[in-house]
Amino acid sequence: MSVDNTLIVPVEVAALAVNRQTRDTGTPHVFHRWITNFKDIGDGVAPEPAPFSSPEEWTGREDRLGVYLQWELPAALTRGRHDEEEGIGDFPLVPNRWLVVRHTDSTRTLKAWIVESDYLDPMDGSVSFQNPDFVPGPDAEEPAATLIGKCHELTGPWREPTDRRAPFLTAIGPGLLTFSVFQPYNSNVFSLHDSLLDTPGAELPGRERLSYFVAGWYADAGSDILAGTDDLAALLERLQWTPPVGSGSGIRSSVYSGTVLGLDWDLAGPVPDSPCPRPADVTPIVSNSIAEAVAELGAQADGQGALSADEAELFRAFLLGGIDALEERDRPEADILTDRRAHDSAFGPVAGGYRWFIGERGEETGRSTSRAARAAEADTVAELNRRQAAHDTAEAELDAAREHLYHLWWLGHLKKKSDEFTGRIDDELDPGNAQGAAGRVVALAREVARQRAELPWGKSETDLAARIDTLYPAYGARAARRLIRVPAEDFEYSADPVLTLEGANLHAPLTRDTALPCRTPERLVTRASGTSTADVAAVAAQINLTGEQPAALPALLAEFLILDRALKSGAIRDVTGTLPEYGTAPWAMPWQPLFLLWKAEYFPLPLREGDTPHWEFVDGSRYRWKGTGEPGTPLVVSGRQTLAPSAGHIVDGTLQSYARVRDQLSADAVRQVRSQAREANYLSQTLDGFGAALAQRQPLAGLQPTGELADLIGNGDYPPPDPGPLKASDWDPDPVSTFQELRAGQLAFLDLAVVDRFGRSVNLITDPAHFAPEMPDTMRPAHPVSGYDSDRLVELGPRLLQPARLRFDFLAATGDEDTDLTPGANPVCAWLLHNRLDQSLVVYAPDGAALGELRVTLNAGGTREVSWSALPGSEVDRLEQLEPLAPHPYRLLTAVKTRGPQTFDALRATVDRALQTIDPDGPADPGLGFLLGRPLALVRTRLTMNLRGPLRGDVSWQNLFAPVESELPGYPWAIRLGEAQQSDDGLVGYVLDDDYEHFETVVDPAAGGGDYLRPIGDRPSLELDFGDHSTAVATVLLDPRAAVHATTDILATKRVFVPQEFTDLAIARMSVNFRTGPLLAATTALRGPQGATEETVLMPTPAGVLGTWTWSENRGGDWQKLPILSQDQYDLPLAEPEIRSGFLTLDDAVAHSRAEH
Amino acid sequence: MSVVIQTRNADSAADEPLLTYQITTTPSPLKASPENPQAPEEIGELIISVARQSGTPADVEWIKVKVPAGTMAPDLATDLNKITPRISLTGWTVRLDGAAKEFVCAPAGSHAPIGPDTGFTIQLSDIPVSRKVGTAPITVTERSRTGNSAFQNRSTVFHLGKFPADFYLRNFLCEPSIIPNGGDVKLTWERSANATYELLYGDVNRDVTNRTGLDLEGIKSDTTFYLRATTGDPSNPVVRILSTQVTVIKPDLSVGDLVVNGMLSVLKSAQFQRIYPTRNRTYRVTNDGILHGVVRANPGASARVSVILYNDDGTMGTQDLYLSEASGSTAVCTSFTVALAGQQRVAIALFDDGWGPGDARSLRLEWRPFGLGELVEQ
Repeated sequence: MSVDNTLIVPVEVAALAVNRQTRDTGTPHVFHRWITNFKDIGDGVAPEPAPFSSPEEWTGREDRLGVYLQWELPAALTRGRHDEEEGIGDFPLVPNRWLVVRHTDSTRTLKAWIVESDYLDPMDGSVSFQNPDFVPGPDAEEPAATLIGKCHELTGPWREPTDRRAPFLTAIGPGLLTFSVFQPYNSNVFSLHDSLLDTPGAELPGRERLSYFVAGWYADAGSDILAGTDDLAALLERLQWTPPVGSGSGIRSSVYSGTVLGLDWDLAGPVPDSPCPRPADVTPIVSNSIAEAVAELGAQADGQGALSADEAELFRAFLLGGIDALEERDRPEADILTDRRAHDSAFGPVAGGYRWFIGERGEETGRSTSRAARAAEADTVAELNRRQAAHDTAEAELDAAREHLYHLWWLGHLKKKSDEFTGRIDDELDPGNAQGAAGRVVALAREVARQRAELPWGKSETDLAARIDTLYPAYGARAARRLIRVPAEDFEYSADPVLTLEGANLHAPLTRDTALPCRTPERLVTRASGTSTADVAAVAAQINLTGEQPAALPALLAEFLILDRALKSGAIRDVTGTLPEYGTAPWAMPWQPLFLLWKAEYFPLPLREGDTPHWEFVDGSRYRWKGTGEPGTPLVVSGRQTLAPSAGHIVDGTLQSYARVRDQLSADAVRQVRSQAREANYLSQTLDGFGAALAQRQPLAGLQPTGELADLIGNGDYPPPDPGPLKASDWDPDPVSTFQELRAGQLAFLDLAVVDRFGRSVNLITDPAHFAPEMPDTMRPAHPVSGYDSDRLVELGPRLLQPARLRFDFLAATGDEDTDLTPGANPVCAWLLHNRLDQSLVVYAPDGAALGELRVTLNAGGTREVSWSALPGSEVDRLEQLEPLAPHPYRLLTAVKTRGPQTFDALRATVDRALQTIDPDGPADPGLGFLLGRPLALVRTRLTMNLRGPLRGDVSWQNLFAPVESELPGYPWAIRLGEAQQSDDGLVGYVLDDDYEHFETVVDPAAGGGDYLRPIGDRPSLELDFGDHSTAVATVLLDPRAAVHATTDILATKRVFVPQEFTDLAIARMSVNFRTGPLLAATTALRGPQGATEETVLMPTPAGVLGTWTWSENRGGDWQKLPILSQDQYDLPLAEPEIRSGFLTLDDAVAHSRAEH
Repeated sequence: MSVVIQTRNADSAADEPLLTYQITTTPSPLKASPENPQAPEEIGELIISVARQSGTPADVEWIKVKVPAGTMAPDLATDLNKITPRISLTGWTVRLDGAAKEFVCAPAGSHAPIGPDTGFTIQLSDIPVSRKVGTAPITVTERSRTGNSAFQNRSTVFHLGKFPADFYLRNFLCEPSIIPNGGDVKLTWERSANATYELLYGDVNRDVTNRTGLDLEGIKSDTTFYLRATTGDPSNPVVRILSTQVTVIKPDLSVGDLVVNGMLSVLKSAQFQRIYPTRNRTYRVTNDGILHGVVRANPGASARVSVILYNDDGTMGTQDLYLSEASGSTAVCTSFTVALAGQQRVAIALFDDGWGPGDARSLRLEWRPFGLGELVEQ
């Protein structure tokens, strides 16, 4: 067993060689580097400059030349916790001393530095850092910023500073996630600039072979990540570090080591080769979602090996909808489905509170509950749901009030404030002032707490169950029927647009997915390619490593020199010892993309003025600007995103789920496609913060209050507000508020760049006027806001800047109660069935009992009219008798009846036409289909649009306290119900807001309906807003097998089913009656299955139709239903035939007409 | 030719910036963007060169450049967010403070010394120039100190013009650029029509709106000519000033204090005159000089001289009398010296009274002008 107690952890070292060409070249890269500045963080100023702002000056500057070395901390040391509640934490301490040695090949000389990573001094440090002693607040005594990091030339034994601080340095440094990877952020902390000038006044070498050795350690052995562990194996497992076999459990310290071998320095030479792409090889595309972008790119790609148009469409469908989408490709509406997915993938859910119901414990027992108990349950649930809804509303209001309070508190930290603000802020922040922002939060919090006390409410399942037990013991955890809480319908927020770049080498390097092999000092290489430790001893002796450093350093240095010499002689071979994981390959110029920077100009476009809309609803699915109305003041929005290779992963995930259900695919093929997909050359990034910027929010983690205000504000994690400019000059008019009610406008990119870890940048826009990104057709403006270079413009259709939802609720058939809140309430008002044989419209009760039918008859005067007749089993002899039973069907049928046969026939034809495309489960029984249509439910529904919480307010200085009245609540939004082309949409038509004089149909109505039948079309008349007209009630005629879709561009497509509990029993019960007679048929008494005698009619029945045939006839007001015996025509009659009129009744057939396939 | 940027420094010397700032623009002058809000803006760039021109470093906490933005004539940019700011000083950053419409340059630590030999630039690129013609004040404020004194805000204001797109004024030349004293020059320039132009030099202010050149004669001293173009809304006119110089060999000089540490050579000539008894003779001197007189009385005679100095307005100033009496056997001389300013008049009389014969008395005048000049009898 080894006695080594040190683990050598490999680190990757990247070396950027900056010669004159590299420094000054314009293509493919430029240098775009910036540094942080923590000086004004106390005033709410972000430490990172705005994107594209404050770039370092590089061109022509001699002091920028040389080699930039950056070592990458092992992944285990860069992982921390990011907790919604408590923010960022638990990042481990990292090594804070780094030895860097340069070997110059021609002279075999070494030069060494010690990087003291956690050196802090406001004048003498290297890069900006948040002063650890800084406490934000109005009385802050310590300055916010200091400088960290120092590079010491190593000329003698290293001595630790005598006044060093307790270790504090982590991978995120001052709280920046990119601190350890963006070299300008960490100069002389995790990186070093070797100017190659060893003496004052020296000249840069012309050509040279250089190699570098980097080794890091913890100056304080006690803070070593491996120090003091009780369970080394578990710790190493967690760190994903593999110790060498047999290394024992005595390891308690770590040394981090890496090399760069054979850097080819050529001062006057070309830019060294690297995978940095050329801007011309990159295709940018703007879209609503990552999936849509990838799909669009796949679909648009051309050239050799590209997809054909059909294949591209298929690929696009697959990427957006996975396997389901491929299955749908056979269906006529496949394109609609794909487009809808593209639209809907750009929305995300926001929790919408909760709903309650009382359910059976465990399996449904079928036990019956008394009517009184049901009524009691109904009342309990209804009351609870009302209270829950009130609570959810109050919670959203509290959230908005807290955000407002946070905004005021945050703005109070700014140096420049409006006079009005300064005058009012103390009152607003005073929790004792009921009129102030803090006071309102106090009141709302109290209200929410009060509501929570009366509601079962808990942070965990256990809490919740306990509260249910306390408040509703009758429906508690042990009760047979218990209260169940389920999430209410989510609100939706609209996601930011997505920018995707297609081209080589743009994605961030993938993280390692296997454990990191580490070594112990005894495993270090002592001989390779014929060079041994003794051969390099003389060179190594140039560096004094006798100071306060790990004992392993001399052996590591010797290994470095051996490997350097070995590699120079060709390949490294004949190795004694274990080669390190990294750094044995010849040097290559690094290109490691890290950031996407973008800057765009947004032109807000007015939605409407008064009654004049400036956007039109086109294609039945989206809004398009009409080119009218005065565009608002353009806004410049920018962002900096840390890159992730996510687009490839989306394709990968889609493929993976596809492969799971396709077992005949070869595993190799799947693996290969997946790996290609993962490394696909897509770089796809949501333009995070775009919507937030339009909503006057700053994309940064803002200062957080402490004390009482912190308690009031809670853990909302609100972004700081952007109140816009103050009146900065005497001649300034009052600044125009940048408040936007909506996102509705056009966008043009001004700047776009991919920046790597050293600040090498590929600028994708040289002239913003001539930058024309690819985009889906739906985003290409029909009317560009500017006639100048309109190809650059992208249209962003109207989107809300706060969560909202479109609810589709069912109402009780007669009383319009919410079926959700009123157990037992049935939204089905009636069923309608088109009897094609009899050319009648058959009406059934919600439970499936036949009521009667409408058909065309001749009246006494010999004219055709639409008349009502009762059907077997029905007591509704006259249509008027239907009114009290089923008011809505009555009004619908009356309207049809009154309008006469032509309208009646048109309605029947229209229904048939609609049914042709309603086919969610494939074709139904063809034989039956000849006789009758499918049963359609007439259902009461209510559509509601609402916002989460109160209307978003304007945070600009002048409107902070006195919100300007928003016009948003008055904007009507088109809602199109149904989808004529789509077989899984069941809508036939609807009557809106009880206007039974009109029936809106999903297909173009058949001729003859006059103005009674109106097509919904692409520009539906149904419009809702978020104000006084947020609700519409519709009586909807639909095939309940399929969903009804509500399409409104501003929210994801809504899809609802009539719950099966309201449909299945009724359909099973429904019988179809065919008017028959007069005919000759006899009856006879036959023994039924139970042995009792039954009167049975003797007559032939239609063959080839599933179901049970019976005969119904009215005998003196009573309906008699008799079984039928199909008699052999060659037999003697069993009885004397009589002349009969009645109905041939087919039972169990309707269920067959909707048979599952 | 060079461009003159109008600046306004602090009111008191204590508020004078410790750093010196020079501002240049590209293009020069800046072009106002087209008034049509749909048309893309004209793009401009501002480079502020900063230096510490002193033997001691200045300690600087920040430098703020306030750039008015908006739609009014004094606004430089339409939208500050489009501007790319950069500072060439390593370890400093620059950011936009949108609320204050200022670009804030600050070191990444707390404050930083800017040494005597440090020069750097603050550059504002991609400026979308505002759509109104006018003059925009750019205020540069530094918070600085020397030694350990308290930090203090110190400002300079630059007035930058935004000109109509078709405005130009350039190639303002003076030929020849070196002339002898009293020589002639020809001034030429190129200009657009949509402005008024004035030529300023010395205390001359000439309207040259309709000209593109001018001949000037008899230039006696080094002269800077300023050509001033004015256009735009009279309430906020925009002014562009070009300058050019002529150097005069042996020029006329008008100086304030003159301290000569080396040699001074002004007495280049002398003029002598002997006068016998006469009534007042009036002289005028063409320039400054010293008049020295020697009143001689031969033995046995007396001589009396009156020297009257006139004021500028012709009134009599002082009168002094000088007397020589030779009662013995030797002649007696009395001398006097008066300093005369250029154009001054002096009246001198040698009286024929006293004792002794008339020709036994005489006056010798010696005029020593500074440089070249004459004593002219009137």
